[in-house]
Amino acid sequence: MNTVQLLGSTNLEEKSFEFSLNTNSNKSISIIGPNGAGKSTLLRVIGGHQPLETGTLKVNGALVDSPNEKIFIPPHKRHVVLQHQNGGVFPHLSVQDNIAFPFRSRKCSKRKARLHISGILEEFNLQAIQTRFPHSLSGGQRARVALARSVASNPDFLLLDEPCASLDVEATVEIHQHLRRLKTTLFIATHNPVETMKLTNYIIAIEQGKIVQQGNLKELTSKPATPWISKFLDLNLVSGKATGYSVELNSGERLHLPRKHFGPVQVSFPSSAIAIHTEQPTGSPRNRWEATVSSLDTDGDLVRIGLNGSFFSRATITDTSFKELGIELGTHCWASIKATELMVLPSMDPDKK
Amino acid sequence: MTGRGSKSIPSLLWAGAFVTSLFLIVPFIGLSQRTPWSMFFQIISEDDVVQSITLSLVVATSATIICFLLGLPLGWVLARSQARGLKVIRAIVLLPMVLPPVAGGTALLFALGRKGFIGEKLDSWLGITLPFTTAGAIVAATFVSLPFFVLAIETAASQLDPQFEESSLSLGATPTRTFFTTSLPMVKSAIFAGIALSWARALGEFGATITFAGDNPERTRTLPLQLFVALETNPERAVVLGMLMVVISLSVLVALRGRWIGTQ
Repeated sequence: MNTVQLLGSTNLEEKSFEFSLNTNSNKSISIIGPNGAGKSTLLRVIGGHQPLETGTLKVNGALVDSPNEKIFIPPHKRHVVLQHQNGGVFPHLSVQDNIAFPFRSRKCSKRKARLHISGILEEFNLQAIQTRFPHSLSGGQRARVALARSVASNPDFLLLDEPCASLDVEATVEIHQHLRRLKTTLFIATHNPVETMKLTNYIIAIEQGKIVQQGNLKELTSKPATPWISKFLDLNLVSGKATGYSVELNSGERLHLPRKHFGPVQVSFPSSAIAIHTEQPTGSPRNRWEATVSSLDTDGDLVRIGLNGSFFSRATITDTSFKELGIELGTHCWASIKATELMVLPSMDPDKK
Repeated sequence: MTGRGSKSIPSLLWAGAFVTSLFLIVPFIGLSQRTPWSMFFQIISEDDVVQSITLSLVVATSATIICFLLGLPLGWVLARSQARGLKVIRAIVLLPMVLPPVAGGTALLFALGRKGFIGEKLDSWLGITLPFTTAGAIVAATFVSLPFFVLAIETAASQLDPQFEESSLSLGATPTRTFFTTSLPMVKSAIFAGIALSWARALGEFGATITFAGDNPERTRTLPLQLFVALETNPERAVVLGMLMVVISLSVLVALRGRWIGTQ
């Protein structure tokens, strides 16, 4: 079991950062927060590229950074790989030499390294381009090379700084698919709520250099500590199979789509777009389903409602309409949403087909 | 270069650029006009000229190798370290670039010359004397060309995106291994540029050489010194040697351009 325990602070470019976190046994952790909040800095601290100024960092129980005790394990001796936003693929090395790099760093002969990487080249579908150089690759191919190289290093922790920030939808889906299969513990700094929900089971939210909340998705969506978190995670995500203008969800429900899609897809929609009715609605919104209120959280003028139906969803409504509706835990109601509010992403996840 | 983009350049600048180009080109026209082309190869194959050419190549190449070995660590440290006092070191490194070479040669003479505070010990302890030896000419050439190499390395090292070195460390390479497998290959073109620049500078070195290493026909009379001697005795020969240096320098520049455009 891989754990990171961090309680410490550091300074970078006249900004100060204070981190306090414990990942426990979680295998996939996402780090969210506005630009410049300190997501990358947190990854750099764990990876050993940004030393602490006070406090301690323990990786798998071993002290790796403690200024007080004059302990600092340098990056190359930590079993942690930091993968930069652009992947950091070496431009002067071919694809196979990039992927062989971690083996060569550990005094592996060239011939042995080639042997080691053949499985990885196959896993990431890179055999056909293994002799090419990074400048001749597409963004998606380069992202695969970067990930394959990180995996080749066989780290306890893989720290990914916005792994899909500059990728198109197809390449993003492909990288996500690879990430789900990895056995190493992941830290993913991300701007993409879908990435957070799909790939991770523990969330660390950072704002202005401090961790403002950490916990699982349910904890953060039901009681977000800050407006930014609530806005970021204001999203429902369901999977299904599209057949033209409609999608059959894995739960059996059908939703109407704004555009034609085919094959496995993921449908996301903001929780604020859901309307709640105590009687079966008629009229314009064509997507409606029955549900029971399973959770209620008030947050100032807003109320967050958990809806248990054939699939789980979250709705956010104003306090005023909440009072008008007169619903409480266990109330049977109808939820509806306009087709135009649905965002559809192609999905290649084999388990969702 | 041509077409719509050039319309935004005011004609006044075109006129200025034309005059400047003329000013730079005219001396070479003068030189090539006076060059006795029929005797060009005969003159450059005369024994003492061949000796000067050989000596120049030996001195410039040795100086460049020393620049590489000494300049690489210094350039790298200047680019990467935040240590105090480095600003002073940087200023001193650049000094030979702006200092009249004859002043540099004088400084070398009083430090490493026979009576210099280090030269004296070199002489009495190790039996090494630099003035009037090829080694002295190499020292003088190294002194003036070192800044070019250090600057090239410093610029490249400070512009190198740190993500590559961090990736290398992250993937388990030691700092030393990272330097040799990641950092150095990535500044390859800057190294070639630095080598070409310092070689060209060393080849043309005159002032510091004649002041510090003196004029010895066999050991220190490089092409520029030979040219200077010829100016007094045999102007025709001086013109040919001048033209020869133009040809060599021009080839270096062309090679350099290819490098700069090539891999970066």
